[in-house]
This record gives sequence, structure tokens and C-alpha cells, in this order.
Amino acid sequence: MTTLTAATGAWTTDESRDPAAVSRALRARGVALEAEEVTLLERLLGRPPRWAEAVLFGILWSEHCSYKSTRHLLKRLPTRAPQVVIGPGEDAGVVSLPAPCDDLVLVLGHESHNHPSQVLPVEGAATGIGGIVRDIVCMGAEVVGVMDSLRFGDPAGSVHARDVMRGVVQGIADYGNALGVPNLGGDTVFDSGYDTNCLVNAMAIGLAPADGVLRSRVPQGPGPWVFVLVGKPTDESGFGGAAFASGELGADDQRGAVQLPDPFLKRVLNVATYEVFRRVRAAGVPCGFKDLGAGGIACATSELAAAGGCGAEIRLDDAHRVARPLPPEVLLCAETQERYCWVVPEAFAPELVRLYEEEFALGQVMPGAGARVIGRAIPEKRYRVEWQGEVLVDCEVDAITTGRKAERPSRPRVRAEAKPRRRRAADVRGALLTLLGGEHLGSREYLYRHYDSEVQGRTWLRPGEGDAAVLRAHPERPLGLAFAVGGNPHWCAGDPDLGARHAVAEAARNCAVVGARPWALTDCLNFGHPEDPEVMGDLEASLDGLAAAAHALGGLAAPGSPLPYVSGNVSLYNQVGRDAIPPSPIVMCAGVLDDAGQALGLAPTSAGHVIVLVGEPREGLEGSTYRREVLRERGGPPPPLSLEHEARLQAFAVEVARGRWAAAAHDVSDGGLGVALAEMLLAAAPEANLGMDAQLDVLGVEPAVALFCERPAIVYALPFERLPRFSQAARDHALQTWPIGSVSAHGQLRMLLPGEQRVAWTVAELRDASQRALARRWNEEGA
Amino acid sequence: MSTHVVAVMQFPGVNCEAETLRALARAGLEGEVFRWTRPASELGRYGAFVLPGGFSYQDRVRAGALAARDPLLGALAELADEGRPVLGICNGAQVLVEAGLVPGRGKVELALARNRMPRRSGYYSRWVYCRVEPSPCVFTRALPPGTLVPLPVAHGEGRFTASSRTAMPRLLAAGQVPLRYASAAGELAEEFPALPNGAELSAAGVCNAAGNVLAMMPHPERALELGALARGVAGAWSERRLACVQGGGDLAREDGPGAVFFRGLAAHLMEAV
Repeated sequence: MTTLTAATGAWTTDESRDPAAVSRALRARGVALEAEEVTLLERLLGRPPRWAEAVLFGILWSEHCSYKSTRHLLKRLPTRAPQVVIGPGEDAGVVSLPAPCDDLVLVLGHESHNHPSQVLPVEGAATGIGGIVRDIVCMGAEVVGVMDSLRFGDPAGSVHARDVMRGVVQGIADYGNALGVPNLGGDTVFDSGYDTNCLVNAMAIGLAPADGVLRSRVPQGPGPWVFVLVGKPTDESGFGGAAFASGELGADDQRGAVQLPDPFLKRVLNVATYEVFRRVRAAGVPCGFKDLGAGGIACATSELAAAGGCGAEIRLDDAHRVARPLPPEVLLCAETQERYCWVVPEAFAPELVRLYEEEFALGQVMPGAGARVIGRAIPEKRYRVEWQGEVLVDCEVDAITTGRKAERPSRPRVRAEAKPRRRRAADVRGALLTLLGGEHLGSREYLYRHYDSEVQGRTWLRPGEGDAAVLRAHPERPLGLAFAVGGNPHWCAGDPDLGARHAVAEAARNCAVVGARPWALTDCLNFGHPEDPEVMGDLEASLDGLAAAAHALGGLAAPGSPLPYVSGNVSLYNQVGRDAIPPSPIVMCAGVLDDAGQALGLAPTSAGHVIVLVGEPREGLEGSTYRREVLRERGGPPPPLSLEHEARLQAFAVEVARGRWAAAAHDVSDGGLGVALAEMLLAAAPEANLGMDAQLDVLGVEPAVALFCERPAIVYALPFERLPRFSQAARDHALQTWPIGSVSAHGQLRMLLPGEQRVAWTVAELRDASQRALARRWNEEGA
Repeated sequence: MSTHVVAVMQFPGVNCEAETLRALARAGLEGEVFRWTRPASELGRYGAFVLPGGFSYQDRVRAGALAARDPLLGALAELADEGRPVLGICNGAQVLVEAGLVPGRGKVELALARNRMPRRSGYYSRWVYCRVEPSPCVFTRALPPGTLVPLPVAHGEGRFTASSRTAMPRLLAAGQVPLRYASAAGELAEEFPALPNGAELSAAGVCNAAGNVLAMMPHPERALELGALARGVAGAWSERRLACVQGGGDLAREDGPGAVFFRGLAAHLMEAV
């Protein structure tokens, strides 16, 4: 194995008699093919591969691209429902919308960018946003929002965890703000389980005309079809990124595998691409479209051909690229950002190229950027790449689409029993301040003020204003779209099945609380090594929980149907040595409101309104933040969850918003009722000086349970005269309600607790505590 | 010249074209995106101009600095001298200031410097209150001085600052500071976050002497409908929103606080006919 050019053999038939040795030698040169894959590839080609082919198949068969450990397991998730137009399998999922927006479809995508963000937080997070945005655009949609779920290490533990937090937030802000896509929030969790592997899950949302969805394939018909590469000139950045994301982070410098973001170019590229959408629709030009991600030109063109049932001939010489000389296998497979690939009729190609290169002058925006015809589709099902007269790749298209499956044994993890709770007199006053003042439940405002959440002028409920963000789907129509995320790693560590159920219930409930019917889900499974049977056991249990909850909560969109998963991602190897991250399924739920004007925020509006708790009784402190952060107890299971009750609670919540009975609503979950009431007051204008008088003695439990139990419930503020209708609706849904007080005008949260105990906080004091936590961590220097 | 067609100037990196077009349409004006690759000679056919927000030319050198040197700005300056209205929002404001159209005595007198904020730096977004000051500005003249307008800001370089100590007070006295950051009660904002960027004299918007060119940092085009009003806003606007919700009104039909700037432009153009 001394030859190093792209067109010569990667190994000889002699060498492949010892496939393990070939695999090791390849790995030393940056190509990850397992021993059995060495044998398989040689069998598929009928000869040892050329070097460029080995590089290509190393990417195609990486965990990141092939889902070889999990693809067969993902079938457990429900993906069908009447509103689904395109389910998982394409770059993003597509769902229909109800009237009056039934001429539009909603496009949803969910990706992880965990490994890159740990190594280079700013660039890693930025390209995470950039990548998921491309997945939406390549379905023919305009991007209308992004969200992010972030998991960071213990910020008190190391300066590195804080650097990762600062860098990731900076990267998301730099990219999304410049791109002109509103950031609709998400969530942020801190835990020492993420000290060596942060998680950055990015979700994106798009809208397209229902008859304008594009597919990533060569269209049917005679063509002739040509491939047009558009965007940034190809360079070496991100080469090897897929393999990098399919292994453990190592001691080597892996920064070269992280892509480089350019949101400025991307903005112009997307605006130009939206103009192409309009023209091909107006003229009825058939076309295929795909973004360039892992595997670059090779993966995009070969997959477009394979999906279209044809072959392709690519002339790599014709691709626009940086001036410095690069090896052809790098040009072929690098993950240079801000590129797309069109497949269009040859006759349309000149107009397409002119639009990018002249009307939008890509080359002036960035030297070397542009649009070039780089190859053509051929009826024969072969994929061929040529470079300077040499053949780099020549194989059956079917070889490219040959799926890989890796059998991974799994076994349930034996969980440590939770230690019995130490009895102590609860100082609930101090406890609430401790919870609000810690990074777990403190206000996220310090972070999200870095993001533009209003560009495009569609946002009607912003991060911090409600349990879900709400956009208007169309400027002249009332339909609203809601988005929220869920996934509590502490609960998933305690019981991955139940924790995953909670993740779905929480995301869907957050949509329902603002008044939206849960409509579709996306997910990402973030886990450790798939070779570890206990990690696979956690993953399988999580899938079962995700499936069970989705089956129970789809009725508000389509009676009798599950809430469908339409897009997803799996991120494995989030582990260094023996330290795997906690099981981390993360779920996004999209919801629809008949009228965005019904969207309920969490800020109470008027003194005199009554406060009502609806949902599960306050019993037990299982899985509560209070136990972790105040009592300092670790482990144990999450709160119980009745999915049947949850479905009724969400149906009720949608009815409340539709009837405009309430002025404010907030999910009772992390931190319990005490934190929920405080957060409601903190969301109101300080100048209004609102407060609350709460009689929690009616709950009939000890103070700590009343305040900090995290069983599912919703707390409402509503005018007294609406109470009869509201209560009747709750009875109709067989839900328990507890009127627990009223909104006041004295700027204090006052409570009457069981045993005649009275406790009070000023809202100013709650605000100080809540805003301090992340501002302090952000500005902290040193170890 | 088509008086009612307003050009929305698109430099590479601008990203608020769509909502700016909607804002113009809401005020009964026809808007049209004018892409940077078109010749400057075509600008003359438009009755007014909006420079929308975004990151023109990637904020290279300084925000707005490169677009300000685009030949299109030279042509725009001549049309502004003729009295055609020009509104620069956020990055558009940075361009107008960098190009010397605001405050507009043929030289660059102001800058939009990096935000000055305690314990944080860079980009910052939130809703703030702006107070209308006495001014000949065509975009605000329908509003009595003292009117409070809640609007979102979202920028990293929004601190109006002048090369000389006397410049801003002189501009204020001349009625060239039509918008200043204020508290919910209408008092001048002197501290973060009511004053989101540390601007001199709490200036949120500065115009030329004639009042037809306004550079403002807040984003009125994001606050067109009453339904878009941020939930944490206090005072008259939040009461208006509540009354609309409780009365079963249409939050999309009712104007939000930002619409008034475009209605002011429409009224001005109607008068000019």
C-alpha cells in the first residue's frame, strides 16, 4: 500500500486475504472501513477498489451516513399519519397543513452536530445550523425558523464546559442571525455527563407550496439531465467529517474535519435558490435538488442518480474549486459548506447558471463561488467519476446504495436504586431561590438574547414568552405554527423508556399549552458507543418509549393516528473512554393553531385573574430538580406518566386556547408548581408590578411536594367569569382542577402552605435570582 | 417616476427584504426589491427607498461600511437631496450613517459603534420603548412628541456616537433625533437594558435636516400587526392588545406599533403627488 494516487488501487487481492490488516492500514490513512467491509467492497466491485472508491465507501458506510447500527431499530417509530406527505428517508420530512393553508406544506428537519461542536464550538454549532437549513431548502422550501437543543457539561466544573457553552451560542447566533432565519428557542441542559461530549441538536423549519416540493433524485423522463453544482468553491474543509462523527473523539487534532461556515454566502445562495424555485415552478421545469453534506460531490451525485434509478458520469475537472491544488479524492468527498446540486434538463442549465453567476453574482460575493455543470445522468446504472482523463470511481449504482447493517447486542442496564429521601424540614423559601438561581432552572434569557428570533416578521410568540414559539404560516391567513422541544437527560438516565415518553409528552404538551394541536415530531437519538450492549439497551428502550408516547398523542391531528416522526437523526459515539453521555433522545414537536392570535403566553396580564392548576395531583418528588439540586440526591426514576391522561390534558389545553378563556398558561414540569408560578410572573412586564396570592394548602400535601413535584400539569390564569366554562371543559375531559389563588397587583409571590405556613418572595428578588445564574457562568473566567 | 413604488435596496447579505415589502404593502405602497447587480441609473424611477436590515457585505470592516461605498449610494444621495424619502433600518441605518446621508451635511459625522452593555458583548435582541421627539422627520411627524412606540432591536453595532461632543446635542436641538430609547413610563432610558446599546443621548433614530432621510436601529417592520407585540411590553399597547383579544378582535388586522412609520411614508408620498 505505497501508492497514494486516487485512481490506483487502495489494496491488492493479495493484501485483502487479511482484511483486518487492510482495515487497519486504511484507518491509518483516514479511511474507516471495517474488515468485513473490505471484503464486501471488493466483492461488490469484483476487484480491489481504487483509492477514491475506498474513500467514498468509507463515508457511505460510516455510522453517520449508513445508520448501520440503528436503521433496523428505527422501524419501531410510527411514521404514518394522514398529514404526512414525506416521512423519514429524505433530507427532511414534509407534512400537510390544514385549511386555509392546505396549499402549503411544512418541512421539518433535525440534525446533530455534537462532535464538531465539542472540538470547535463556534464553527461546529454554526455549521450545524447551516447543514440543517440546507436539508430544508433542498426539499424546495424556504426556511422560516431554527431551534436548538443544547447539552453542556457542568459549568461549575471546568472552564472548558463554559467555553463550549459560549462558543456554541456564539456560533448559532453568528450563523442564524446573518442568514436571516429566526431562532425559535429550544432548550439547554447542564450535566457533568456532557463534560467531554456536548450535544448540539439543530432543528429547522420550512414552508413550501404543496405542489412545489422537490425530491433529491434525477427526474423521470428522457432529459437529457445534467448535474449543476452551485455555491462555494470546493476546498478541503470537512474532509473526513462523516468518519469523524462516527467514532470517539480522540487525542489527535481533529479540527480539520470540522466544516467552515459562511452564512453571508449562504444568505445570497439561498435567496438566489428561492428565485430558482419560483422560475422552475412557473415554467414547469422538472428538476431534482440535493444539498452537499457528508461525502460532498460524490455522495450527492451518486445518491441523486441512485434515487432516480439511473447512473451518472461526473467530470470532476468541471467543478469550481479553490485555486490551490488538492487531491481529487478530497475534491470529490470534502464537506465544503454552502453548496447544493441541481439536476435539470440540459436545455435549462444555461439559465440556471446565469441566474446564480450573473443575476446574483455569486463570484463577487465570494471569489470562486458560482454554478457549473459537472456531469450528466446516463441510463446505464453505473456511477463514474473522471479527473484529468483518469477514472476515479466506476461502480454499479446498486453498490452505492447497498445498505450496511451492524448487529449490535443489547441488554437492559441495571439501574442503581434511588437512595431513600432524607427527611428534613423543607425551607421552601430558600429552595425556590436556589432552584431559580441555579443554571438548571435559571432564566435562559442571557443566552437567547444573542439570537434574532424575529427576522422575517412572522414571530408572534418568542422564546421566553410562551411554552412554545409561534409563527404565522402566511401573512394574510390566521394559521399559526408552534414549535417546542423535549428531553430530560436526568429522567432518561433513570429510566430510558419512561424518560423518552416524557420527552415526547413534554414537547407535545408545550405546543398544546400555547393552543396548538401537536402535528408532527422529529427526533435525534444521542447516545454513546453502539458496541456497548448497555448503550444499545438504553437506545432500544428509548425507541420503545418514543414510539409508545407518539402512538398515544396523535389524536389531536388525526383521530386514531399516531403523532408521526417525519425526520430524525442518530448520533452515536458520544463517549470518551468509559464515559458515555446519559441516554439523550431529543424530540421536537410541531403544532398548528387555527389562529395565531389564540396563542397563549405564560405572562399573566391582569390582577384579579384566578389561577387554576389542571392535571395530575401533586404527589411525590420522583426525578424532581428539587431532589437533585436542593436535597443533592442523584438517580432514581422520573415521575410516572399516564399517556392516556396526557392525551386528555393536551386536548383540554387546545380547547382552552381556542375558546380564549385564559389569559396565560404554563406547563408544570421542571421545578414544579413553585418554579412555574415564578416563571409566569417573571414573563410579565416588570412595570405592571403583578404578583400572585396562592393557597397551596388546598393541595393537601407537604409544602415541598406542593411546590416541587414535577408530575405533568398545566397552570392557568383566567378571568373569574370564564371559570365555569373552563371547569366544565376540564370535567368533560375527566381532569382534576385546583383553583389555587389569584393574580395580584403587589409585585409579590405569596403562598399559604399546608399547616398555616406563609411564605412570600418579591418578584424583583425572584428576577434577580433567575437572571443571575447564566450571566455569572458566562462571565466566569479561570478554572 | 412612479411616486408610489418604493425600492427595497438589496445588498448582498441583507435579510429583511420580505417583511419590509409587507410593511410597505400594509401602508398601501408598492415595494420592489432592487438588487445590487442592477445599474444605479435605474434608481430614479422610484419614489422612495428603504434600506432594510441584515448584514450587508458581511459587516466587513464595519457594519454598513462597504454598502456605503457602493455606487448605488452615490445615486441614492442625489435622490435624497431632491427630497425623496429614504428609510434605513438597522443595517440600513448603518449604511446611511457610513455614507454620510445621516445626519447629512456631506460628510460622515456619526458612527454606529459596538453596543456598550454590562456583562455582555456583541449582538443583542429585545423589545424596547422609543419616545418620539419633536422633528420634521417624514416618518414620525404624524406622532405627537412624547408618543411611546415599543419596537424590537436586534443588533451588535447600534450605539449612535459622534466625532465631536457637541454634535448630538446640536442634532437634538435641530429636531434631527426623532426617536430616543425610553422607559415604559416614557422617561429617557439611561441604563441597560432600556437603553440597549449605550447610544449618546439615548438616540434610536437620527434623520437629516430636511427630515426625509431617517436612520433607525429598531425594526418597525417586525411589529406590523398588533399580534406581533411582545408579551412583556407594558402600557397602552399591551392594553390595546388585551382589549382586542378579549373583544374577539383580529390581531392581524389591527396595526402594531411599527406600522406607523410606513403609514407616515405613504401619507408623505400622497401629499407630494
